Amino acid sequence: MTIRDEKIIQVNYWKKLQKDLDEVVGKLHGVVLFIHNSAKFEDITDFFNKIHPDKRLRVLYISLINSNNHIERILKEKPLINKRLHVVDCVSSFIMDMEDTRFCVYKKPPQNLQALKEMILENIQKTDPNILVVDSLTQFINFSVPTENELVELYHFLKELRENIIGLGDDSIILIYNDKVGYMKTLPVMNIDLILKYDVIRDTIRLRD
Amino acid sequence: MTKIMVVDDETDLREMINIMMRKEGYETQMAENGDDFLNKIDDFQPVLVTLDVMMPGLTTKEILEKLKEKIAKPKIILLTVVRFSEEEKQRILKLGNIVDYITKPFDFEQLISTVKKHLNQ
Repeated sequence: MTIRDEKIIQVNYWKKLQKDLDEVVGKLHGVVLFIHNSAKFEDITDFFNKIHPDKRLRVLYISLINSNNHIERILKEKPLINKRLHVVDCVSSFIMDMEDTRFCVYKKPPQNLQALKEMILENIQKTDPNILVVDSLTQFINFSVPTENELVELYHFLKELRENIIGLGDDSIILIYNDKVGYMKTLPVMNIDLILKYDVIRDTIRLRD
Repeated sequence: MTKIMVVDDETDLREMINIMMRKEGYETQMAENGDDFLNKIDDFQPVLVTLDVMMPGLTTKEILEKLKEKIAKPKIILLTVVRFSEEEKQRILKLGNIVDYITKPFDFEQLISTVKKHLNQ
């Protein structure tokens, strides 16, 4: 049997924000990495509703995971409050014929961060959003095993987004990352203002007779 | 021996599925994208294909269209990270030779039992 030394790669400190969460998220501004362990859109609508709940905002949602039809079905059950969603659906046209609507355009998924940036800038011009959401960054980088090149590309992407999008108002960029792909060994350190982790814990409910 | 083709652009996942299928006694071949799949299918003549929905290159819609020109008519199980609505899933199950739909991440037992179900095993 071979015995190998273990080496610490990364230590992450987490601060639980339960009490201050509404205040922090209510005034959200800047670039936010939103890490979650749920693949379900319905679980993150609650988070969206905590963002500037008193203001009417336009949200540009770049979807690389959920179809627009799926999103619409969920929003009927759990509507967004004071937010108008404009969706760029990058998944449905892969398998079905789709036609653009007033609040949704169908595109092929961007193959890299540069193509994603171009897609974002094009749709920002059309929708003039206050909040940009990319769901999810997991399609471009795995923080369990990122290469140096991938991290450099990510920082460059974030820098360009920040320069092009963030103004003085309520502008926010929310990058959703699903950590189900693996334990995060590397956290991005540049061009991110806030990292939030959202844990959804599920359990079976046992009903008594 | 029953022939199964594994089509996925993620190398690790493709190889894992391939190993699992071989352990179950199937003869397998792998393809890394739609073009690769379409080039190999008539020579290999699989009975069933596990097909990743989102790969670089051809879309699933284009793959299904080009598949009509091929001799082989395998059953297709889609593997995808995409969350579609129930209504869309029903529409997808009426396309081409698609017989089932599995959302990633999935466990291999689920995949094997789905494969066996469609091979009547």
